[in-house]
Amino acid sequence: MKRLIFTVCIFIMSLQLINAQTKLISGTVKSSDDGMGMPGVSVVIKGTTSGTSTNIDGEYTISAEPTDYIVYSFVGMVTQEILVGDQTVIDVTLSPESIGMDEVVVVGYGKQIKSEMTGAITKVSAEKLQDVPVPSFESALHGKTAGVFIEKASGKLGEAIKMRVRGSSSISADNQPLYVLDGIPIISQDQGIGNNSPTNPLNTINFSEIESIQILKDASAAAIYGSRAANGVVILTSKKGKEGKTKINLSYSKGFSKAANKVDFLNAAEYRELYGEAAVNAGYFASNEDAFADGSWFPGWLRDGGEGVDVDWQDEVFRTGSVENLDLSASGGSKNTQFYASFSRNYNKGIIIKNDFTRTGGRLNLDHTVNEKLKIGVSGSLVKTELDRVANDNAFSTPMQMVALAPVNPTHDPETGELNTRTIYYNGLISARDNFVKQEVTRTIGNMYAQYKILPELNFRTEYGLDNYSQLETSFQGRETNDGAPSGNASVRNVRSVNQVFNNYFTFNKEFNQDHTMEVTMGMTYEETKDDNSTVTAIGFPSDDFQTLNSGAETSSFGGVKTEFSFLSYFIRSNYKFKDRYLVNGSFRRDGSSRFGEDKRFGNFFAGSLGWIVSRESFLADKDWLSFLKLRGSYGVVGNAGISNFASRGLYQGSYYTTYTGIRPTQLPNPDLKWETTSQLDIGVDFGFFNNRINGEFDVYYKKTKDLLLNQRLPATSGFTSITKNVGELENKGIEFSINTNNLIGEFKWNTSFNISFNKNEITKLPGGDIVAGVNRVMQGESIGVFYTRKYAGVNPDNGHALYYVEEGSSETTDDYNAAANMVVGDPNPDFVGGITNSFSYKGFDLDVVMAFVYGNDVYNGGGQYQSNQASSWKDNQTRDQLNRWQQPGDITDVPQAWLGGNQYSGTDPSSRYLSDASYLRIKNVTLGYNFPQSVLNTLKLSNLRVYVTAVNLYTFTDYKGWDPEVNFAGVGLDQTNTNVIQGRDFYTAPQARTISFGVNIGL
Amino acid sequence: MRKYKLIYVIAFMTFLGLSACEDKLELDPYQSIDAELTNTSEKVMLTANSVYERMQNADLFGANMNYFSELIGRSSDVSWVGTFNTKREMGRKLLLINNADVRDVWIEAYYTINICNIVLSKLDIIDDADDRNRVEAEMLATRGWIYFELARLWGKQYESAGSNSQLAVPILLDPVEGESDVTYPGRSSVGDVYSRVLSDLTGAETLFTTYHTATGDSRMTYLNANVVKAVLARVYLQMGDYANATIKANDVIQSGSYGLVDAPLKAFNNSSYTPEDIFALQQTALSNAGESNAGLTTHYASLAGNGRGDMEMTSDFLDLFEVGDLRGGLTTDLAGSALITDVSTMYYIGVGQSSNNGGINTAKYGDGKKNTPLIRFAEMYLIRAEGNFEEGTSLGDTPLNDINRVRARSNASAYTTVDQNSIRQERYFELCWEGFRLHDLRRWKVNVYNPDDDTESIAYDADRLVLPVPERELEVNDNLVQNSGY
Repeated sequence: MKRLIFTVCIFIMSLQLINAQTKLISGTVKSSDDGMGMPGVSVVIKGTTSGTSTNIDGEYTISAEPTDYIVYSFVGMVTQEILVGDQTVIDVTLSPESIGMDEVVVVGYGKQIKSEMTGAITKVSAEKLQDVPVPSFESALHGKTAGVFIEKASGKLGEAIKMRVRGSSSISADNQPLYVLDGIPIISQDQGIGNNSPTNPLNTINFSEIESIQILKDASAAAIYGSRAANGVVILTSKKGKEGKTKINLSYSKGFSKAANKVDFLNAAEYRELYGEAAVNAGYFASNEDAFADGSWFPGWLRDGGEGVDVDWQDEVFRTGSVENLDLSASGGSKNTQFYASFSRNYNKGIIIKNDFTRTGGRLNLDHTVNEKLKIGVSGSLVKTELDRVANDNAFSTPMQMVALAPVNPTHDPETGELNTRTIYYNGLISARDNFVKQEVTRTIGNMYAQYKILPELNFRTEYGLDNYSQLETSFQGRETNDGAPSGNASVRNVRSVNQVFNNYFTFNKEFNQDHTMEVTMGMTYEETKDDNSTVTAIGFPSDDFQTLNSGAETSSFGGVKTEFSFLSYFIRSNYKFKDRYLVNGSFRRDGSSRFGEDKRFGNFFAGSLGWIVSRESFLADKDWLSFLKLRGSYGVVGNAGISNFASRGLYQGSYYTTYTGIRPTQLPNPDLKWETTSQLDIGVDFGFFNNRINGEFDVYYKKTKDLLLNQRLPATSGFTSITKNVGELENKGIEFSINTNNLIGEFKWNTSFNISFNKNEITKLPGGDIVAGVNRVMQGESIGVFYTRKYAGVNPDNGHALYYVEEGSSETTDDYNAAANMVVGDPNPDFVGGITNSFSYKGFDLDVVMAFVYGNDVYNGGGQYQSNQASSWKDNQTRDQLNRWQQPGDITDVPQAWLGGNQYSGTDPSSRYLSDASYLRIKNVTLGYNFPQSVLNTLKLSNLRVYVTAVNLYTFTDYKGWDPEVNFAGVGLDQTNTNVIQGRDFYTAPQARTISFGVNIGL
Repeated sequence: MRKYKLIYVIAFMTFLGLSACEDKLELDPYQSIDAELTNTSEKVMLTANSVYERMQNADLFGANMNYFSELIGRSSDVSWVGTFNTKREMGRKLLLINNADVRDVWIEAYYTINICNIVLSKLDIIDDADDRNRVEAEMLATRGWIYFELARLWGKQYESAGSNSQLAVPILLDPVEGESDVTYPGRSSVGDVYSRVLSDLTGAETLFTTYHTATGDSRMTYLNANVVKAVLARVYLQMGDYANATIKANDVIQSGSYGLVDAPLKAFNNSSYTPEDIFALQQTALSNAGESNAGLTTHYASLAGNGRGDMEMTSDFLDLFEVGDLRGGLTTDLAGSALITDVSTMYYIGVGQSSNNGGINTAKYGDGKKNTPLIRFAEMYLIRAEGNFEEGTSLGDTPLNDINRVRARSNASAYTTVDQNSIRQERYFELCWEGFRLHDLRRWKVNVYNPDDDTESIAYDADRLVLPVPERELEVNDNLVQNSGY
């Protein structure tokens, strides 16, 4: 049967040959860069408009006469013209012009050619990131991605990183993007213990295994992920093997790190001066001298080490950290089987005592072509991480809180030589000596697929993915520590989170009459996640030598919780292309989730988009200066299902009073609860000029979220403080612009990439009234989490009282805190963020300078009332700016009178006094490398040898008064609303590390 | 072609097979149950049980009721020396309307009141008549007691001769189980709230009498008739109704169920009930109010692993006690590893490490895992003495004998006569740091120490001695009015 068809075809084709002298030419266009097929290459008969473009594997077919010239052209590559003659198979290899090539972009359930995309997607090649010695890939993206705001919570290792794609689209549901690795959504939410800062499960991803990162930003790109796409989707693709000789790569780097900044605190003499004055003012003593008589003032309160003791406690907190990275990989394969295998080890010694992170793991990716129809593959990674942690920022035992200790307190007791136990507050060095807090994660992420070519144009792919996240947290607190006294305290927490995903989909891809190309993807996916965790704390240990539960005398707490959720979805997407330049794209997804009320279980999401590649129009074809121009627009509706698993139910939970058990209500029911929906309009332009030496993108978007899942406030007299409802609306609108310029080409190359994104978030409807999280608030007409508190008006020169503005817009001030109104005094959301990357290369040398900037956001220092209260609270050491306190009538200052213990005029209550502008420009990364020339490589029998030095956080330009403007300590054990709303807070939060590292890459 | 068909079939089956997993979207929580499942006899009784856990909470009797009274009512005998702003405001007697403790006590109180209201609305579901009476009595007692605390914290002093129209707190009696039940109530007057308190407590008293038996009853350690009588004695005392206060205190004394332990410190830091406990919050290593940042031990104690020593007493205060009075003893030489079991006097120089140490701290709350007495038998003698003295009666016994009973237990010398001052002084000596100070001063109409100016005291009925309605609550409920002065 098949043979017959074939024969007929041949017959018909030969007839055509004879008739019109035209024949069917086929072939593959490859890139000289890597020998891989190049998709999207324009293949046109010279002098006509008839042509085609290569498919995803670089293959094409075209009808041509022997006298025709075929023109192969592609953005950024040298155009080739080939005379057909008597050839029927023409394989072409294109070499790059001056710069890059068009890329294949991985999208949900498939891939696309970037030039033909109609959605807003940012792609970052992981190659450039890999020299950067940071533990998690998100921080390496900082400054490189338009429309994406990335913020590390602190300089402590292993902690959560905030990523916002085009602003916050929710108040009470998750605002982090969905992370998808090789087609499988992975666990990215904090799994850490509730009494410490959130940790980052994405730490387990070793980014030297990652080929590319793409961020789907608009509805058109993301709608295929339906109810989970409102915050954008981050798609990670791991490296694959390529046919050819096995390549072995070895990378090693080692470096050291220091705190990027320190804050000035009082020394011993200044401390005595300020506190003596505060004690005299408050009437404790007649004079400073009295206060310090005997070198020991405030008997019973403060241990003064006397003359000669002047401790800078900050020096006890910080240390010189180090980083060490080893990556070893092998990749290659035969025609039918390709593999990529890697091993890596990453060790970070933090800049804060007792804070270390180690990641060890490997990956194996295998792809096998069984026959021309069937392809199968597996990929899997095994990772183990170990994080040594310190207590949360709001704990006496956390190292950073040692800055509160008085400089007159010696670190060690001079009599015994032991650590001083008589400091004004707890001496955190005791915890550093006796305690440990460890988080160990073992994680397996694997998936397997089979792909079958049912018809030449119809593929079926089935995938199964498993993310097995297993975490063990252990801690021990010694008997001499504040948390472990009197007899030690050990705890164990076990977390198991298992996510399983099944994807099944068909892809249909066909070109009709050369002018029409159609691709349709259709399928379903089922996902379920089950979480189990349990925790036990025991007390009463015989001695500090015994640190496991078995040696404890009694249990002081225990718990075990279990929860699960599931999603069932059906989706379809179609891409239609007419004449290479008119693009129409549509997608639809129907999502069901266990998280919603029974009546609202399913929701529909869709997006449509249009694109026009203007530069391919004949009227622009001869414009040499224009290399590429595409206009695109999209509109779609996506959802956010990131709320707690059973938010729609009226619930009762258990309670106990000694052994007397009961149940009590915890949540009011709302059976109508459904997803939040975000509709987004995006209009964009992609451009390239002068042979693409200048290229970039410009996007304008408007995102409107309605049916916000809100914990609407209720009067507490009802017995409940809130109910989760779909009320409220908010919007994000913004502009993103990125441009890459090849300033110099030739032997000395200089490229610049610049991106900037403006996003304006506004709460447009909030029927339940404000949502309050300390000084942060959600208010109608304002951005999420604005700072709403008293506005500090400085100090009355007559009496040294702190002053506040009475009401908004008025210049009238008062020293009565209760009489002053709250008002919006700042905004934690930046006006714009962005970055500039300059890359230089000359001969074997290359230099990369990455700068990131954030502008227009404020940070509230929650520790300010302790650190900067002009000695008017209790005994904490003060920042040096407090020396500028009011002392006598006529003094002009914004620091009130020192008054030991504080009075109502001390200005230490929450107000804009502790708010400061946290805009910054940071030299995020500088890398200088040298690639040894071929002659050396030949001698050494290597394929590649590169040495480099790289610096992270080299310098930060900022007016921020604290340690680091890139900061957020929201608190511990927070619910989702507070996590979203509490932004821009500092509380003894550790600064980022400044790291210098030296490395070598060797290719065998 | 056969091979193709097979593939189609497999693909189609996979597609369909997985489509059938819509029932996998029907998941139930593990740590909770649906509210609809709570309408059974067993579940209603379990719901009633949970009020004990709530009373133990730091935002009710577990801590903050005590701190409000002791800090706002404090004299120079005690200072707040900790870093917590919420408590420092209390010690300064200048509360901000966004004080988180003020807010949280309000929230916790009404949360617990709603549990009582839910149970009271479902009494007919309870199968057993005895259980039904007992549960009703417990709910009324809890609700009445909480309204009493709210009335005296948020409202000005009840005047026995006045109209008592000054505002207190909203009264809620109906259950809230769904959004449609939520109301936006205004504040009721002090007079109305006290009427509700008396109605709830006397209702509970009657029900308990039919339910509760005598000594040895297994429910001695829970709410019972004597607990309710003792609370009623407090309520009448606060109202200036000395006759009824005396009657209720005398009833408890006459019940014969209680006695004074042989030394004052033995009434504290116990793992089990003592004869002196009329009602104590029972704690274990698991329900350890005072080990985290809340609880009485947290701020009163300064021992190894217990407390931050934030409530610091002066040596002048200890000098008020006569030499030998066990209630004024001080230990000055504790080791850094000292626990409450190492403390044999009522006061000690703190050695705890987490925050302040080196000041004078009380031993009343030395271990967060031990019981917290809420109503001690000694208080009943003091109420009877004061009531009899003010009324000129001697129901049960004379004021002199009652005062001397309390003094004798502490090795304090016996008085030969007592007057109003010595009775009030004795009450302070015996009950200091147990949450009575502010309420006593206000009912005695005695002005309160002003920390900013010790020459000018704060009038007993000053605005600043009454809590502000929480800012949060005012923002949500337009029908609420703020107290004057805020």
